[in-house]
Amino acid sequence: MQQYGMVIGLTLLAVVVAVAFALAAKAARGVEQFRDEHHVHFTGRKDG
Amino acid sequence: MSDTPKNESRAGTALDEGNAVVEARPSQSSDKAILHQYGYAQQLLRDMGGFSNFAISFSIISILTGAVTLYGTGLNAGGPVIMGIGWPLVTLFVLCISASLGELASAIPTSGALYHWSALLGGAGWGWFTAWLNLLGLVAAIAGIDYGCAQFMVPLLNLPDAPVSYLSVFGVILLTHAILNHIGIRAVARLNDFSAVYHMVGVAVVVLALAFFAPKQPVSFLFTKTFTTMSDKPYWFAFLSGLLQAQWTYTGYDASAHTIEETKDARVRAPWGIYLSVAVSGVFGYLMLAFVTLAIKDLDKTAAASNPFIFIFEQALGGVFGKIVLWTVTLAMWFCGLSCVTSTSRMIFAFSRDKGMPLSSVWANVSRKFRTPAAAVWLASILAFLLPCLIFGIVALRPKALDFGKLYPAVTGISTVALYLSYGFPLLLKVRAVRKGIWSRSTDGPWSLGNWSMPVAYISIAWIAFITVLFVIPPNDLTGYIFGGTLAALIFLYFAAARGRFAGPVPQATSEEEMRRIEAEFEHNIEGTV
Repeated sequence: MQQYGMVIGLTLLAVVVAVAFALAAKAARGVEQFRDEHHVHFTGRKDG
Repeated sequence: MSDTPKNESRAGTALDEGNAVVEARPSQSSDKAILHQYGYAQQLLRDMGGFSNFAISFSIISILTGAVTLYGTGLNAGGPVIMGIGWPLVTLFVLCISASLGELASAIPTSGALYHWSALLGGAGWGWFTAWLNLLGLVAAIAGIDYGCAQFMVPLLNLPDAPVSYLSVFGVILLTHAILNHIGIRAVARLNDFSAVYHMVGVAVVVLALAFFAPKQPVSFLFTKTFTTMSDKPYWFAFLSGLLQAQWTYTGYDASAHTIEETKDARVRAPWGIYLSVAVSGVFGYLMLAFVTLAIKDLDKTAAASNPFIFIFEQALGGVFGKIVLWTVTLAMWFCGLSCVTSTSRMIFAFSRDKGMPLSSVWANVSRKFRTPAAAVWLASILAFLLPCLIFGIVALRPKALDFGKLYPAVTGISTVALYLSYGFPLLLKVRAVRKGIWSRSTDGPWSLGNWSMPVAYISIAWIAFITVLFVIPPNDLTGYIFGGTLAALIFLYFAAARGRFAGPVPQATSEEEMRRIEAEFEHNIEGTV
């Protein structure tokens, strides 16, 4: 632990940040895609 | 499920074995129209925006509450490393769980949330168990938070250190929460908005004060300093036990889903509320824990203190600042409890709407004046009040064998395990539905992880299974016994009273006209009727 703690800790922090942004980006793309496919604005109305 | 009465169809034009979701998939985009597709009328006031939806979950996670009440537990189990490595480790898995739950909220946007998802995907039995576990977890959470708030408040108000003082203050705290939740979601939403800002500013003040005025350990202290008071266990096990601190903090974010019928553009905003409440708590929680831990002067003395978190402040910045932090945390706990009552009452309301609870017709009542589930609000508050009373009663019966100080922390463990099991069931059932081809891409709501959905769900389920075992084995065996007993009672109750009688989600109306008639009763806002 004494030897590898810093490496483990900093790597873990980097992974958490990367995963958090990746999941958010994936979900945001999902919302965009849904809007394009269904022509829906999320304000309770439909396009045309 | 075979126990669904044939003469009563489930909400969402249910089919057997979970086909309900496909059939119930909304074809219209407005929030109200989607709710109608599931057979429910818009009874609650839909007035919450995205920030308010995020704020309610962020307030329940309440990094100031979780970190302070269980900081000593974490420090004694794993030392500084539990803050430096344990917190991000738990955050990583909770992010996956929140994303998976966000997907379900987006696909099935109803207040019953976890319970409703399980019932639609697995049938009435799964729904019933999910509901009761969720309810048990939420009531235990209210009790844990508000009783914790009372424990902080009694010495601050110079009241005598006696059970009657704690129970009286606890009762008053619950009363304020019940009244505010009764009179309206608008008031509660504004308070939650303020609470979210309060938590962020509170953490910023703590971090800046410690950064500028407190002596600091080197950064390596966070990642390399192993320490444990659990001398009879190997360090790796003690470290894992200490994860309870972070895992207990990260509970209650299902509130964004429970208030989904009160959120505008719910299918997008509620999932973001779930996910972002975890992500933002992760960042602010880590900053706070890191700076507090780096300010430790003497690790042995800190670990032995009655509240190590406050002890660190008193040592680093003096008694006055320690007292300011104490008041800051106490107020954060009050906000946390307020949001928790909101979430629990919506859960009770939704479950009662589907006739899942004893006296369901009472708890499913919505105040026509305030458009809140007023009866459910009071039930949630009363149940939370009874829990510590029950513990006091049990301890009074066997004072030599039992100790309130040991029995009560088990409540946090029970809350964590029950809540996470209630998160795990719908995820497991969704995975099963996908594998059986019942759930496809077209079933997803707008907030979807696409082809990442299944791997993330698998990771989430695996982590929930892991922590469920971890938090019921020694040294948390007391939690295990109480939770095991509760689970056995639930199984008995299900087979004795619920199986065959509880039908799962039941539509309130079958035609648009009937739906509009129900809604008109609330929109006319009959004065004086509560």
